[in-house]
Amino acid sequence: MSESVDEHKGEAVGPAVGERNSAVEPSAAAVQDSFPKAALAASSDGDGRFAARINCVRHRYEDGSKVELCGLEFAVERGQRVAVLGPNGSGKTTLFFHLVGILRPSEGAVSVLGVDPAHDFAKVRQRIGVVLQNVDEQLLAPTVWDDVSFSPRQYGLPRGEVKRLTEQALERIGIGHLRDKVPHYLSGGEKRKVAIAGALVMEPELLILDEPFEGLDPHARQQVLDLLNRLVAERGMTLITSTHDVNLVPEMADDVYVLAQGGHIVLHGTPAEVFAHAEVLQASNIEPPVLARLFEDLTRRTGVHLPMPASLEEAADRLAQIIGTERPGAQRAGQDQWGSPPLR
Amino acid sequence: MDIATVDYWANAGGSYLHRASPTAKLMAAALGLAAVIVVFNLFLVATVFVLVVALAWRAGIPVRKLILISLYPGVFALLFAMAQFHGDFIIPGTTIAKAVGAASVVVLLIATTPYPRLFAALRPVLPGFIVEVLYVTYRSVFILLGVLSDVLIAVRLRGGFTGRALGRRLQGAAVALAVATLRSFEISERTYAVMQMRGYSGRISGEASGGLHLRDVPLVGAAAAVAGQAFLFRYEWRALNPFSWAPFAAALLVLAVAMLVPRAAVAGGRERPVSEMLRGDAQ
Amino acid sequence: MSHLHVPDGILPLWLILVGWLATVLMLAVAMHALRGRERARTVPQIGIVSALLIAAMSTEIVPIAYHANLTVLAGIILGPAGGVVAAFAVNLILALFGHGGITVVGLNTVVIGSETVLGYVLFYLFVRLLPRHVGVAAGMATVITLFLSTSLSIGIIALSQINPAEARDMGSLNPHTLSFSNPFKEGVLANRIVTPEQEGGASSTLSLKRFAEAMYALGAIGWTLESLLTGFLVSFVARVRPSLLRQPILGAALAGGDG
Repeated sequence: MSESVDEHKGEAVGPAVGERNSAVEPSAAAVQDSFPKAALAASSDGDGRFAARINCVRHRYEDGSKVELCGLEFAVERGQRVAVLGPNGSGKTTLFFHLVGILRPSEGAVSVLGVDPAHDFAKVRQRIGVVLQNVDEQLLAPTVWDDVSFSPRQYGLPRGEVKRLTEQALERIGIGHLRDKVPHYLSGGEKRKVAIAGALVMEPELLILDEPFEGLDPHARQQVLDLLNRLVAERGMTLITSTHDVNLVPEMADDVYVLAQGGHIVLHGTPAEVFAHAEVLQASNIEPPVLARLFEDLTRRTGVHLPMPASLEEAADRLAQIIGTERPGAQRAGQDQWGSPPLR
Repeated sequence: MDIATVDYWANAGGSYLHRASPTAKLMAAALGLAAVIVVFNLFLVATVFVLVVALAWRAGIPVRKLILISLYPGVFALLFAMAQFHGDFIIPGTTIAKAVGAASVVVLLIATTPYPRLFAALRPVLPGFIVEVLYVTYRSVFILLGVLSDVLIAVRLRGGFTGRALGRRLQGAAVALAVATLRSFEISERTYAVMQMRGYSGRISGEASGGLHLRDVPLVGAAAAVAGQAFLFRYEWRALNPFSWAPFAAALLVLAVAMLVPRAAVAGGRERPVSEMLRGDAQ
Repeated sequence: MSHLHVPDGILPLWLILVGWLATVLMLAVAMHALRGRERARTVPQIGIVSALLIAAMSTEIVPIAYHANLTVLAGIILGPAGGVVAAFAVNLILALFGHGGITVVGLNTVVIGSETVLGYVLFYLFVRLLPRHVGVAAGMATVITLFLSTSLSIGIIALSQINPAEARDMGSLNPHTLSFSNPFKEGVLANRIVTPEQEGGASSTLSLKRFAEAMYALGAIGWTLESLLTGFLVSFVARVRPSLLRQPILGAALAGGDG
């Protein structure tokens, strides 16, 4: 992935741990002034560079509570894999609801695939796949097959095409054997897989997943992760996810946003950059991945610069190099115990 | 919750009855209902009931539970039965029997046919909008039952429902229902959002309304025979009533055969009784 | 107990058919009223409220005698058109489950549908008189609605002329004389046929009265409980999601406020 460029800051941001180049929240006023609504609209029209942008959106709920998705700009480029981290109640779900037009901001602007989702989601919905956090409410149809085939049927596609797309989605997620099952008799993980299949069935350009791995066992998690990475690599799909599992983040995202309580976007950068800011993360109740902490600690103690590894395999590689006694033929870390290598 | 139990029976079973087409089962149920309603003869009402039990047995449906569920309308029939009581137990008894018999037919239908498939079979006679509402209602019942059971557990754990005091029960129920009501709104909004995002244009289920197959003929034929016999007895009661014990005896015979012939021997051994699955499955 | 728990086989066929006809008409009117609205919105809202009613009716607060109805609440939230559709869906699903006769779904929909409509009308009337006491308004609306619907139920039963609970009405039909007789008047085993001439018996208009008394008496307890429950639920909703009550027709939308 190319290094991320924060165009409004004019800096190229590098990937190394220890270099505090990643963006940290500037003063709120400065941010607000630099992103007027018109500029946002003009810069992300039609099939522009950005799949999604949020410009300092404020939302007030009926019970009076407020979420302000301000601070750093939320801008997702096409083909990127973006992860949103934050404590519970920080507004992750609010952000997602704004992206899909379920919520309309009291102030600020949102743009997804060039349109305002609160008004024009219908124009782009065939190109977007969404899975929200509560899967039960998203499984509407009587059987799994009915649910996965939901979108193609609604869009009036011919029967053969519906069948092809649905079978493809079922096979991809590996749930073909569930096709005739009734949703409420599935396990949580199976339900989530069904929902993801339903989101992927129309081969979307943008996939938005709120906590996609919740309820999945490690094997299923890896399966889904590999599939998503493959779709991004092969089709240039854009991926926006949120997760609690920080250890997965290096494998599933090129770009990370960290939210604090109340919705403030306090960190933005590559996983390596973001996980270097331990204090900011701690304030948001996030613990950096084990590997990041380990390598940060090693860097500090030894003085040797150790870039944060993106995966377990990379970490093992680096450590093995340093230790210098890697045995030939040994099982490589990063091969999961079911034998499938991680997708690179 | 009974509705959840019956839904499980309908989805888990693989008997002949389970595999019959929903349209055929609807027709058979209608004929069975007609038979119960038309007659006023305790023997003939009992005939239908006994046949239902026989079918339930073969389908692997837990018979005792089915009878218990069917007794529920019988309790209400009691009120009407009492209004009819003039020193003679037979008339009120038959009224109650009719209620229970009719319910047993319907419960057998729903115990062997998942609700959505029934809705699909009803598509030709109901407006599409109503069918959609039925689908969402069905799914939502299970979502809400989940919510309700969690809340009821919480209430119970905090001491609600203790004692038999009506006030306590009402309070506990009120809290549970308040939470359920609130969740309902949120769920309906999110469902709307999801339907919109997925492009809903009016048809949740892709299932075709399904027709009749050759293998359904025995079922519908038998039901038609029972209904025909009931009509006959009703209109030629003068001549036939003395023989009304005959259909009842025949039904008992059918029941005996149904219970004695091992289930695996029927339908090529592909049957797997629900009661076995209930015992063996982790739900 | 306003829900007509009339089992199958009691009411005469003509009355059953009238019930179904009335239901078809009510549904046609309701669907016409809803036609302009987005299906993606109306279907889930009516569906969820129907599910809520089913879940409530399945929770026995006092076993057999009382279960929460929530029909008035449904009317308040969904409005009359949605309420009628919900009434039908609830009745059909419950009847298919054996919780009520399947033939009387028509009549039941008329009774319950009218509860939702009446509840809606009365609530919004009372709320204008008592704007600060939403719960009380709901409670009052519930009591009156249930009284009226119970009366409707009794009226329907009266129409069916069950009350002349004589042998004549309860026996099999003799198509020639159009009279009924009880084949078991002498007991099951005796199995003798009673001829039309032998029938007689005092008129039993008393039965209807007794029946009505029982219904009103039991009903009064039910109405009280139901109005307490509905009042509580409505005031709860008013506190937590007031927008739902401000826009009664199918409730308010997503925060952000479109209709």
